[in-house]
Amino acid sequence: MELTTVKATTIKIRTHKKQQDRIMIKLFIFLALVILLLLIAAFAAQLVPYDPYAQDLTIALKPPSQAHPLGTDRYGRDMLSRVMMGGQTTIYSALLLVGVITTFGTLVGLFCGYKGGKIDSFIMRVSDIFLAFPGMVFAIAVAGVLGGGIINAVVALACISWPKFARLARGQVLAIKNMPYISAAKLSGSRATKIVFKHILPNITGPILVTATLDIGTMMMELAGLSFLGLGAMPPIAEWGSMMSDGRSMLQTAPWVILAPGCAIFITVMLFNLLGDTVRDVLDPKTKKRPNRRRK
Amino acid sequence: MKKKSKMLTLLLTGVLVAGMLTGCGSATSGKSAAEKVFNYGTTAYGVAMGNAGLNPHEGYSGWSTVRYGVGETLFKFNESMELEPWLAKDFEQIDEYTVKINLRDDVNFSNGKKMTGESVKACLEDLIAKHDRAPKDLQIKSITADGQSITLVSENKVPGLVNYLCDPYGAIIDMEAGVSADKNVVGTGPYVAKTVTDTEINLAANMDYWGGKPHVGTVNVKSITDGDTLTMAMQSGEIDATQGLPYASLELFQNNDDYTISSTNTSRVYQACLNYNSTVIKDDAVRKAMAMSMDKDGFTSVLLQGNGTPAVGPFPANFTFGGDAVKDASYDIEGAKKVLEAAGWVDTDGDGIREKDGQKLSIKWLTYTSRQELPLLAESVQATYKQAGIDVQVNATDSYKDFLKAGDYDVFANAFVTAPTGDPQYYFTTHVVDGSDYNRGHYHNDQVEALVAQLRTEFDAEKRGDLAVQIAQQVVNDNAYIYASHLKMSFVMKKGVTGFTAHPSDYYEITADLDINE
Repeated sequence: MELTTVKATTIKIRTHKKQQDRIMIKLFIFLALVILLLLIAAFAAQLVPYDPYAQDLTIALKPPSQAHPLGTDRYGRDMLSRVMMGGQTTIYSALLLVGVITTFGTLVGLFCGYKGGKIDSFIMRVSDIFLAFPGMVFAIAVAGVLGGGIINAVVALACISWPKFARLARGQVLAIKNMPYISAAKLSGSRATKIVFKHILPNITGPILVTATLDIGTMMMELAGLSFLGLGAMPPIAEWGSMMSDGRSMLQTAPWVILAPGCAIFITVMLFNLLGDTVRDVLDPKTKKRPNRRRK
Repeated sequence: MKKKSKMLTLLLTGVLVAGMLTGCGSATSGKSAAEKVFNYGTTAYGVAMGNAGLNPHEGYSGWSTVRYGVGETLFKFNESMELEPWLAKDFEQIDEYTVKINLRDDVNFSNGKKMTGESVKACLEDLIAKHDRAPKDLQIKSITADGQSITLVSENKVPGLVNYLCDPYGAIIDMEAGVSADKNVVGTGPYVAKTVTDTEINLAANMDYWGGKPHVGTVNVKSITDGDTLTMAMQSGEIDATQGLPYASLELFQNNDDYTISSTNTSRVYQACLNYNSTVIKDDAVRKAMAMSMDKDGFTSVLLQGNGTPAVGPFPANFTFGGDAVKDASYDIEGAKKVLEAAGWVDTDGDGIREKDGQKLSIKWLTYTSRQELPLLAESVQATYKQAGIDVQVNATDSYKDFLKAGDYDVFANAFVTAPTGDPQYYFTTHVVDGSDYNRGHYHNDQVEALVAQLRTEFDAEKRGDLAVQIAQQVVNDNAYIYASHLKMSFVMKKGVTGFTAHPSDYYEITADLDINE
């Protein structure tokens, strides 16, 4: 009877180890793909086969060919070059946006969670107000007031997205703040900033990192959405959302004009989401408690 | 079990997708000859266009009254934009201030009441009392009615008075019936509006129409503002005809036996107004180089996909004073570079953009997006101007009025119907003289002022044409405006629809000639 239990546990541990290995392989694959994507976007200016802004009306709306693998748009610009260049705008704007909201939201959450009291209540009510608006509608309104431009779109989306991170960080801080090791730090005379940044922050980065990674895809979609509505990138800047918007009326006559940036958004958002999922699997505290993780 | 549930999921998804696609399909309706229904989708009706409702004495709503066959004006334009009688028989210019108009004797309003001099007088009096543009255009001092004729006396000399009466605001409606709460009116046209909303007008044939019985019993005008939705509505058969399709969609219907297209050149011009308050634009060489660097042919043939004609001056070729009557500098990037270099604009830092006295040759190009062609023009000049060493910062926004007010632009590009009444005066008095409503470039030229003053009082049509050519030539020589292209308007209709023709004035759409032959 005992032997069976031992066997069963061994099998369980083995299966779990296999699962863990699979997750790690997945993580490396997605990480490699995302890094590749980031590199392509970063060096787009050097990698593009044609000038993405050079117009040549004589070759307007040519279907994909050897010379132009993704075809040309209505100004005769090479779609492949524009999609690559657009990646730079779209991906890095989304990363900038997520960076800003994560940092700002986390700092606000840390401050509120640790300080508590009236300031906490006030800031949380403010964040409640932001959360009460339908996100995209509010972003459209903000972008409308600020005027077009990719930076304004980033600002508009940052305005509505920071409370999520503030709430997340605050919740985590509240859970940790009364832990014995924090009390010990306090007793040993550590200053508040030291406690927050040295003892609390490292312990809440996991969930924040997971949320941030998962948010990259969402933010990219929302930025592209604003650009699609004409509130994001301004012509002639290559940006996937505005490129799709430009090609909207040509879906039936020259589908490559809308499909190229559309597929680029699809692939990129999917990659970032898959990476986010995998990061969550890796950082999942439940997984950490499993025996094989502990043994490591 | 897992497989089964997967299969089930797939099956359900398939059913859902099939259901959605079925919903998109069209139901074919068997139309009887007596009860023909014509569904018309247009981008040109609605609150955004300023023409919602059918009251001609309010804003641009008269366009809807005339377009959809509810109201008619005293005179109308033919294909060459020449005057023709409509509800009137003829007119006499008694002196420079007085016009006598003789009305037809056989016209009834759709409520059966006869149209008389008195009813026309009541309508025109209401027009000048309530409308915003009409009093300034017509400058009427008094109206007298005598049987089937009316006499108009104007405050000043108004040579284009009869032309102005062709503007849709001059649609004759029965003032005794008045204007209903839903902005419906009683006109003299072949159709009577049954319901009027901001997005749809449902019309029934006026079987007692003075010009003959309409061939189609019911007409539904639907406002569909999104070009792609309009395209799909046309393809699915939800509508029988349409106006305002995106150029990219037009080719779906060209060379297709199931559809007919009726096209015409209009006087709607895409123009760039250069702001003389800007230090860069003040430089004659910069304006000249800008005019020389605009690829009008490329814009028209490729970006408008041939749905237009490259413009020289403000008026298109179907006017005697339009088309080639005015001469401009041809598209010549190399020439533009030389002009700029001669004026001292040189690229010293090697970034491709010229400088002079430490100032970059960068211009702010303000435009809006509700006319789909304007952003295309902006992006097109952005590329060609760059070749000449001019940087263009495009600001395509529908809140452009704020920027206009703030004066924050070097160029304002817009679309404008230059000769809605077939007469050149309207464009010049609104665009090129001091203090005119749309002189957004603050352009001033003494000679132009003098010529426009002459035009205001000249009655002879030929001399008016000559004056118009001289003024337009001066404006083009000064490069105060750069005219890119005149729009070609197209109606797309199902095969079998007849009597539905695009007119250069853009006023006449649904007439008694409309028919559907299946």
